[in-house]
Amino acid sequence: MKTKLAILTMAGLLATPAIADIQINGFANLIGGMTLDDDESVYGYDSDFNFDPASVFGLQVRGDVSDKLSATAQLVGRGSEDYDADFEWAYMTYVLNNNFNISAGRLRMPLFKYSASLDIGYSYHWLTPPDAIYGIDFNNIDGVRVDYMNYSGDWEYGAQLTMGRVETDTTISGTPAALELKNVVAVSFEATRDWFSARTLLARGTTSAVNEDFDTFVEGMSAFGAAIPNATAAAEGFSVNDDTGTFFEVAVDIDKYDWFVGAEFTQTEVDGSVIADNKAWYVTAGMRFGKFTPHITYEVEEADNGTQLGLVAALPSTISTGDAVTDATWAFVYQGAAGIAAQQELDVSAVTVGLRYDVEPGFALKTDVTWYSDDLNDLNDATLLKVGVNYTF
Amino acid sequence: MKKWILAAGLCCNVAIADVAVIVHPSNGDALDKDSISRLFLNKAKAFPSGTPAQPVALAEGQSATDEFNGKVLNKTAAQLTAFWSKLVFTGKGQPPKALGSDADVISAVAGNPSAIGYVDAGAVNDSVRVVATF
Repeated sequence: MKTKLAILTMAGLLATPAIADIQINGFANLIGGMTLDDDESVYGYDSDFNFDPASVFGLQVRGDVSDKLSATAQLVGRGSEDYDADFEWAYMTYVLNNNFNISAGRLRMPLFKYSASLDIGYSYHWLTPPDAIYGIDFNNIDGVRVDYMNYSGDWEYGAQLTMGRVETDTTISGTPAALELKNVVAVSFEATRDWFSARTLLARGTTSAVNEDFDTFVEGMSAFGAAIPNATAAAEGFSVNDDTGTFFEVAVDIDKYDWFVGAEFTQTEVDGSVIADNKAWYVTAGMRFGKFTPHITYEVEEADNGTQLGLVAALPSTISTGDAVTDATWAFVYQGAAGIAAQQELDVSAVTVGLRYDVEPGFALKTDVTWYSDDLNDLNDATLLKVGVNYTF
Repeated sequence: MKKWILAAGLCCNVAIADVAVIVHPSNGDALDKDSISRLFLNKAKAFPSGTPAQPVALAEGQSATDEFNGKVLNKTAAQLTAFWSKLVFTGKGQPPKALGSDADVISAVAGNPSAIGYVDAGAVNDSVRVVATF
């Protein structure tokens, strides 16, 4: 029904005679993958060949309302969501002058180097960008974005200010949760000179996540606050409730056409929450031989759960109140807290080797092999093979 | 021997046919390679004088198109497609409209004081001003 409505709305847009100039563009990333061993799974793939985790199809309609004002809607269907078509972007852009424009509505949050063109597989060399950095739960924001761009001498540079709110599904301790980021403010800068480019972004927002099981657990813990002073602090420190989240990103890129190297680093912190401090980075390099682009990437993601372990360490593992039920309940809560804190640690890395073949402008074939390694648990190691087609028009 | 020289001359004339960047005769701006490249890659929206610029491209398959993309924009057709796909799908810009022939580009530029285009240098006539050849 949602899809039908969306298509009708699109058709309505197309038929509206008031909009003089309409551009329709589209993209398709059909990506199939499988792990090479029976009991391995990674990034949503297992040993059965599957198109769902990363395949994306999209259609964009843009209409010029006037010289200064345009409206853009992007209808996207993802394999991971059963190809249910959704308006992921719907915004209006006003061109203030040659350097500034303002967009408002639902738009892409420019968190990473490849955020803007994340769904346009054709625009980068991998089938999918490194999961260590790009595997996050949200990429879009409801709000306002101001874009500035200019040049000086041989340098081209730009800045973006993005403000708004994000609501999305996430997971806390392995179970689904509703994530809400309020009062998000992000500032990014980018500069390019010939073959060199760099960008950075700083963002902060008020972070909350709602998950019934987890909230029950946190309430249970804080109920012991009278008997165990540190329990209140631990409950506060575990809950994800109006906590300040900060995000930092930096990327550099050297592209001499015959060869290129690039690197990106991100750091995420949500103070006073169960979410562990996260650092991720990758380096990538490739060469272009006519239509062939072989490339290699090394990526690392680490989450430090020291804060969470510290909260647990300040708690007694057992108490003796004289009431056996209370004592047993606390022992259960403590075990839960210790388990959740331990789960937040992350130490994974991956090497990806791939080949892109440009069939014609707008159409590329690719294959990537990823060796994924979990340094905390070898049982999660996996080798992933992906093949796919990127198309854009 | 003469024939060989003639043949070599013919071959190379075709291969290095110059591309002329043209503007309306009323446009007095001086433009170098970088500033032309910026206008055609959505990085600058106006001529140095401040007049808004409306770039006009030539369709793929025309000889001047590859020359211009390679010599002025420093991009292959695939690179240019990737470049524009990033801008189009982020709402940052649309590629210039591509016209079918040198004659179409010349008449579009001759009729629009804001226009800038490129054609095979051999096709240029008095209705437009050549700002640079490559």
